[in-house]
Amino acid sequence: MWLEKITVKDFRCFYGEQSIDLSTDPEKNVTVVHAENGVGKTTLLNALLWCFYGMTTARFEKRDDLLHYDAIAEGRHSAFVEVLFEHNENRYRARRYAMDGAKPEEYREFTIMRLDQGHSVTLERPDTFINTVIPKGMASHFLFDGEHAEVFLGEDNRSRIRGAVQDILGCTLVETAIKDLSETATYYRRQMPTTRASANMTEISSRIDALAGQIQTAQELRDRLKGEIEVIEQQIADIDENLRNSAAAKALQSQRDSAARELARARKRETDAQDEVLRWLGDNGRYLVSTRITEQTFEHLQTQETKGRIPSPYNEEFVRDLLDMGRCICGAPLHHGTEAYASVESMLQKAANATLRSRLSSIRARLSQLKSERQSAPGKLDAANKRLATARQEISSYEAELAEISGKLAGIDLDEIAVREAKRNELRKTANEKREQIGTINFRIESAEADKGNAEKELKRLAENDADARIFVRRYSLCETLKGRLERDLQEEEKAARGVLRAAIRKILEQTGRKAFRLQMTEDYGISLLNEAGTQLPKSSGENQLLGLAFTAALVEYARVRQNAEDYRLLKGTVAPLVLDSPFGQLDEEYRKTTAEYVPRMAGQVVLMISRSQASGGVIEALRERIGEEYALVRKNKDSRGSRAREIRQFHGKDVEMATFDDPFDGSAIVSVSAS
Amino acid sequence: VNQPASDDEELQGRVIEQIVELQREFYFENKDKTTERRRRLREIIERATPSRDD
Repeated sequence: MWLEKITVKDFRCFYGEQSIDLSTDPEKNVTVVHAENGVGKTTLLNALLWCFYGMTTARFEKRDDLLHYDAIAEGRHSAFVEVLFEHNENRYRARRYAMDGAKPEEYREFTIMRLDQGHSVTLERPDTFINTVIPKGMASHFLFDGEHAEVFLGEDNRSRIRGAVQDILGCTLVETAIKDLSETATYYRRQMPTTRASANMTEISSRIDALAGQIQTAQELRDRLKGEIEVIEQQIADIDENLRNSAAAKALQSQRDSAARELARARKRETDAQDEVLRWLGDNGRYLVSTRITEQTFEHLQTQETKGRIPSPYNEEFVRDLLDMGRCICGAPLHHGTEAYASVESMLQKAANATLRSRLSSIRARLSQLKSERQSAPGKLDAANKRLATARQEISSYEAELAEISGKLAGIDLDEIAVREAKRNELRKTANEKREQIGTINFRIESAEADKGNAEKELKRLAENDADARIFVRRYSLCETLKGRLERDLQEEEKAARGVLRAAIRKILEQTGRKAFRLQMTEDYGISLLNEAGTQLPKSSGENQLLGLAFTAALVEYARVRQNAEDYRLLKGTVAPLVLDSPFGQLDEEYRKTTAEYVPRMAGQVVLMISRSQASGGVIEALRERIGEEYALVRKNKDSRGSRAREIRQFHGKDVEMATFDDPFDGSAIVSVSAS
Repeated sequence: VNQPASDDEELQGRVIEQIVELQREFYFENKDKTTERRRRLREIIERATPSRDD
């Protein structure tokens, strides 16, 4: 989709009919809208969402108040937003109306017309159409709100990030199907006790409901605790950064970073050695317990082989050849029906064939392997145990070193170092307590899930014996099976999506960041940046500010890649314009410049909304060659200027007053300030 | 080696197709009618698991 023009009429702060032409030149694909806070940037962004889907973002205040106040006062009762766009080489005009005092169902709220040469065709199902152009769930991810980019670092970022990945992956249909199947399974389970089945079934069914409730509550609590730990880790990262920048603490903090890095490595070695010991026991434990059996079997085979009994002294193929030729090796004829023929034929019962020989050979090989593995087994176990002991020793030593460093830092009575260190220790203690709580909760969840599984089995067993309930069991089971299949499919798809997004974000950060850092994106969507030492970068770092933007760019790119996806369960991706509202956050000048250089590459068409301060630091210069259209939002006031100073900005040599007074209305005006 | 899907798996695959199609219909029509959608889903499940009287 390419946006050509947005027209608003009496919509929120925009009085009368005003429009904005967007650049559709691929070489100059950026449209810049200059606006200070409170002049209508968010309204413009929401105008698009509202026109296409009738929805607005969560931050859009008074969302039901859509008509301009002065327009209402003048007796006008409707507002609209109209968007002219191109999609798959066709042009369309979408228009949504809001009528003052009327319900949407009382008038034709939303229309889309396809514009053919000289005439237009009204689409019968505009909602369906717009959802195929940009699925509703994906739309909000093309709107980046830089002032609230901390969503990627906040407490509830995991669920939001997961939601964003799922939206772009187009798994809305599968997700709703999973929820519906879960509800439907419960519906059938509850039907069971209403049949002639025993009261026991009612009780088990209630128990399942109670356990499901307990599991859900525990999972929510666990997620909350994980979020809280994440916030604490960020606070610790902020303190560490502070100590790194403090002259008195710098050396100790550097020592701590190094010890922490070594400790993490030692812990990894401990886990690896532990795994190796367990793996060894799983693989080789039988060699130790089967010593006698192995010896006896091997000896028996050897003896029988020496005696020529195993395999049989003659082969099946050889005996068959004799019978086919009709002659024994001694020269005697073997005619069918004779005693000699029957005697040779009887040898087939004991003859060894190729399969038998092959089996014997593999048994012998396996037994030989058992013998040799048994001889070397204790050695391997010893080596693994030694590695485990060494790793544990190293862990103790690094922990002691860290405690010593912490003690030294706590003793420095300068620059609030001692206070910070005390706070850091307190935070670590709290985080560890929360981790312990998570451990307990995990145990509770596992145990409740096991109880629920058993109760479900018991219910099924009882219901199977009741003719009237049996059908509900089948339906319940089918719902559960389908739900499980879809959940597994979804997990696989998400895993693949995470991999693609992780790689895309890394690439973007490499192109825009100036320090070496590592992106971490866990399976449960915890997303963070780590420095070379493996510790988290502080929340306020420029790199973390970039992270939100990089994530959005990666989503947009992934949606483009998925535009022709074939999987019937998933919605196709899309190509859509990207609207960036104040994307540079608190970035320093250097970062602003490199990020601005990257902006035109983020999507085919970009709308960039920036305030004066956001546009400083070489941003416009970095973008200059790629700007196709440029606008300013001017504040109009009915009030007189009074003692207020003039606020004038220059665009391409022309002065534009950003706030005017003694106007016929209060609101905003869209003014073109393009170079041409 | 791909094992041929069992009858059960084939049936489940067909039912999943129908369920996704139902979700698609409601999604693209912007229908926010959960009760109606779940009623239709029950119909799909019941067609796939007929009782003896059906």
